[in-house]
Parts: sequence; structure tokens; C-alpha cells
Amino acid sequence: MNEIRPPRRRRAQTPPDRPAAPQSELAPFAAPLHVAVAPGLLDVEHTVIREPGESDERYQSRCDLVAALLDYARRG
Amino acid sequence: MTQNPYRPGDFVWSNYPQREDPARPGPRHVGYVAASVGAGNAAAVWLAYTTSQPWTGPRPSGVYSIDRDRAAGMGQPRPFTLDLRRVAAVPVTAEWFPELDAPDHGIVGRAPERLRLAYEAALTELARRRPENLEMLGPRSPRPRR
Repeated sequence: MNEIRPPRRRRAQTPPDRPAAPQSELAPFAAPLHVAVAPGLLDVEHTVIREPGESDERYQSRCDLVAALLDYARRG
Repeated sequence: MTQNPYRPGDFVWSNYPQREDPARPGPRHVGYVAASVGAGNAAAVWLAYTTSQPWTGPRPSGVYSIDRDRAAGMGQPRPFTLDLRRVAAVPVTAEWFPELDAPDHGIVGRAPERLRLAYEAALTELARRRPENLEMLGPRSPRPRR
């Protein structure tokens, strides 16, 4: 299965009033699911899985949507 | 690594988060898989909201009324409204997908490719050009709107 990663996301900086997160917190979904502000969405690199037979154009379109949603989340 | 069973275009049973408690799983509810990433522990989906309540009045951009015939073609027994303005970014876990471990993973239907592409374009447009109209819930959102 081919995989192409959408544009790499820069990891959000830790706010100055917040202690550095432990490494495990930065792993995908390692943060507790019940917290309202979870760092996972913006701190991990997401991979859009290419479906068998999917054209470049359609795959790119799906990557564009994921990138748009991540950009939206980053802007808060 | 376990594959993410959810593909864009799927309708799936989920514990869709409520606005009042957007980071926790909510009541059982069918969501529309608008986007899907990763596999195994990194798998996540963006679920758009569906409701059997009919939409009344002018439909805003991102809201689609699905009539009975078209709904049946998507595996839905009743007409429904798809609201792309409300999405939940959630991990692919049994906490959020109560039928994840079932043979069909709780997938109850699928949108035709033509509609899936239309919804994809509409949500991209919302996120890029009309972010004020978009609301994101779920534990992976920085904060819900409204």
C-alpha cells in the first residue's frame, strides 16, 4: 500500500506557563481522552492512507481536506 | 499494525460527542466519516454530524438534506440531514466506536462516490474559507467553537 504524507505539521510550542509534556503525551492518542485540550491533533504527523486504485487527483483531494482540517484546528 | 477500517464516505455507529461535553464520547449516534487518517494507534477520523431531524428553512452551506430514496441507498432507513459544519475529530477506539470490533465495524452504509466527493469539497471549502461556520468537537480539537 502506498502512503503519502500530507504537508508536515510543525509541532506546537509549549506555552511558557505549562511544563514540558512528557514524551508519552506527545505520542498519538497517548493523552487522556477526557481532557478538553489534547495536544495530539497538532503534535503528530498524520498519514493519509492511499486506497488501492485511487487516482493521484483524488488522493491529493483527500490530503487537502485533512490539511485544511488540521489548519483549522491549529487556528483554534 | 491494525488498519483503520473507516473510509471517507462511510456512515458508522459512533459515540458522537455532544456540544456540552465535546471531549467525551456521547450517546450512540451514526456519524459520517468525512476524513480518515492513519492506522493502528494513530488512526483517527473526522466525523460529520447526522440527524434524522428534517432541516427547515434555507439550507446553509455544508448542510444536506437526504431524502428517503437516497438515504436507503446509503443504508439509512429514514431521511436524514448531514451537517458538515459540525465535525468531531476522534481516535479510532472502541470508546468512540462501540462496534469497532464487530465484523462490520459498525459501518451501516456508504455514500456514493459522487456525493462523497461533493461533501469532501464542501468541507474543505468550509475549513479554508468559512471557518467561522465550522465547529470541531472531540478530544483532538484544541477547543470547540460556540
